[in-house]
Amino acid sequence: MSKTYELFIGPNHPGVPGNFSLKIELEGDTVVSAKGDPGYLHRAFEKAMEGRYYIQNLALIPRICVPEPDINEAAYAMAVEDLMGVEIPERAKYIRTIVLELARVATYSFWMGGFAGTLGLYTLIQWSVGDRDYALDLFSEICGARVYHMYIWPGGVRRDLPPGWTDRVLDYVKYMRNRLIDYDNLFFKNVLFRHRTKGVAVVTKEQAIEWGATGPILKATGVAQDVRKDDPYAAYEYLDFEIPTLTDGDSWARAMIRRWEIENSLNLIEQAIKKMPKKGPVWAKMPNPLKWNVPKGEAYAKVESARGEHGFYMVSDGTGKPYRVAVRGASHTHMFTIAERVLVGQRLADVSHILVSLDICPPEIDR
Amino acid sequence: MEKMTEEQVRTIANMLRKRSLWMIHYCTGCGAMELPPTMTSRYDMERFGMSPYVTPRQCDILLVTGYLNVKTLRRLITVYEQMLDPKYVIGFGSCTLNGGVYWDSYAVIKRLDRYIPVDVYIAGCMPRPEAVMSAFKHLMELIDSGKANGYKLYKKNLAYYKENQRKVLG
Amino acid sequence: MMDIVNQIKELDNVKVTVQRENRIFVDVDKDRVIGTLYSLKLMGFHQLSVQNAVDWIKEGEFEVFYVLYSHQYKVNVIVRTRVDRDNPIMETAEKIYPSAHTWEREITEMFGIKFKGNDESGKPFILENWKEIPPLRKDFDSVKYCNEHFVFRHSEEGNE
Repeated sequence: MSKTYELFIGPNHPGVPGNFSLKIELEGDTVVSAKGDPGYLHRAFEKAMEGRYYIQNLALIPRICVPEPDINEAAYAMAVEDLMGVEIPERAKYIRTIVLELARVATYSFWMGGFAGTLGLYTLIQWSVGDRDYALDLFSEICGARVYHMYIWPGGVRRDLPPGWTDRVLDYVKYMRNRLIDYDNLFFKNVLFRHRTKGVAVVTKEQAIEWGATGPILKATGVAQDVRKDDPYAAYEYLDFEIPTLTDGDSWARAMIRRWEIENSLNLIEQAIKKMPKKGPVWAKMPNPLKWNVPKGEAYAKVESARGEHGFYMVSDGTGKPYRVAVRGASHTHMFTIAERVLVGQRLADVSHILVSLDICPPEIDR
Repeated sequence: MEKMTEEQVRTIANMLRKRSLWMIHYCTGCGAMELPPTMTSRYDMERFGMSPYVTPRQCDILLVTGYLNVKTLRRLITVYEQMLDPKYVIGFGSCTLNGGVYWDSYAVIKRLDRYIPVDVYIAGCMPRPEAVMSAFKHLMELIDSGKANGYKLYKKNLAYYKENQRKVLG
Repeated sequence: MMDIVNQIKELDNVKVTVQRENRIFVDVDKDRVIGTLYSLKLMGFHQLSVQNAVDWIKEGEFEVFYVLYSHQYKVNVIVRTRVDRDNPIMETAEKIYPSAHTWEREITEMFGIKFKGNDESGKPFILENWKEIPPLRKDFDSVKYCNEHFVFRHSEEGNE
């Protein structure tokens, strides 16, 4: 009978995606059990949102999910619009689509760099974070900030696009299409990538449905479930796209799904720019922000983030401040229900690569 | 050969030290999103000799990126005490100054310099990579002129810092 | 969508409201909630998106809600139930939906609602060394806690 050894993969570690810690028990080189330990990034968002007006909360919500802040703003705005019964103008729908898809491309670029880093290839992060920077430049032209935009708000978007912005976005799309060929040659067609990821951390279709997976984890097992198709928001019902699926369910399949989603997003951006109305209002007529007395009720709004389904459940009691806002981050289920079970039986060298392959983002878990 | 005075030795040591500062790769808060652009190809930080490294025993700079939870503060103080002299602390973002956006949160500390001494602050939410680089340049000038003495203050006022830490950590 | 609404109305002792297209609210009593969740899972609602709680302090009750989703019908069902605020004990839902295990740990820490059958609810999860009342309750004053425990910076002070 062999003894097990307890190992802390603590918060100060380059292998964990963020400030998060794991306690694993090892027998030789194999993991016997894994337990996650969250709470290092807890900022009490849900309590803070109850003490501010609806318009003041816009400064807080992008900070809930740090790599991709636009999905938080979109879900919050959709929940408030649901409660107030407001319909946003056409041009605002298309602008929201373009901003959300650009944010998705930027997040997947960052993810690619981190994923290759856990497998030992440090060139890719130098390329992909540099490419993500051009998208952040485009964001800073429309709203002034690179990372936390506060651009999508209830009623539409904050201000109209500057002249020539859509041409620069189309240039960026063409540039990224060329870069994807380079990434393929370096990483996705690499023999070592296939050897390290084929057959590792397999999640079968029944397990994924039973454990509540969403996003690329579910798509890699064969289920084409995507909020953009099932419950369309912004301008997705007017655009034409397919949901990629594979049936392997392992680490390789998840990485390839994310790679195809980048191409999908680039196509969606081109279509949205072509179909967008050239002129029009970008903000519906809303009352004075300090007197937004949202009617009593409950609403649940969800969007498709880079990790899965991201939702906001909002309860309002008729005053100018929300009564309760509950946030659903996709990583909450993926970490505790899926990762703790999938890590059993894997090797120690694969632990950090599995965590990044399941795309665990700690700020979403702790809020 | 004349013997070098202690001051001359210190000047040369400072000049060499400022050109090879290694920072700890510990992303404590949301300010850590602007670190990869600073470290990689666009705003390359490695041309100044700075690079991230994993163990505290071989690093000089502790970059506290953003807000600090009480749970993280306990670990951060352990990491700070494991670093060897001379060591420097940079407070990144407005959350280390006065709590930032989370001023009314029950889990975030409001003033970092009550718990560990800070040498340079960078304002912003989030600070741009150019701001981060100019803060590093300011730190290099402080090291050159001998004024970056946070670590000496920690040893001198140890009782004061320890009492503050105990009050907040329990 | 109307046939799924009619199917849900046939479960006993539930009150069904339709908020907008694809959002159905179902109100049940505390003792029937596990049975309703099991029937909904057999109907095809395989995913538990969110389980969390709301503090209705003026009515003296907590409300626990479960947001379910079905890929077959493309509809969200939100099951709500009320629990007494002074003695909040509920049954766990983790045998039906495995992801409820972690949501219930968080609800116990933030609100103080106990879940019978969940062996880890009650252990510290996100907070560490927390000695006050559960923080998301409405009678916990966050600003007062900050003023007692943390030091603020006044605007004209420099660095020491």
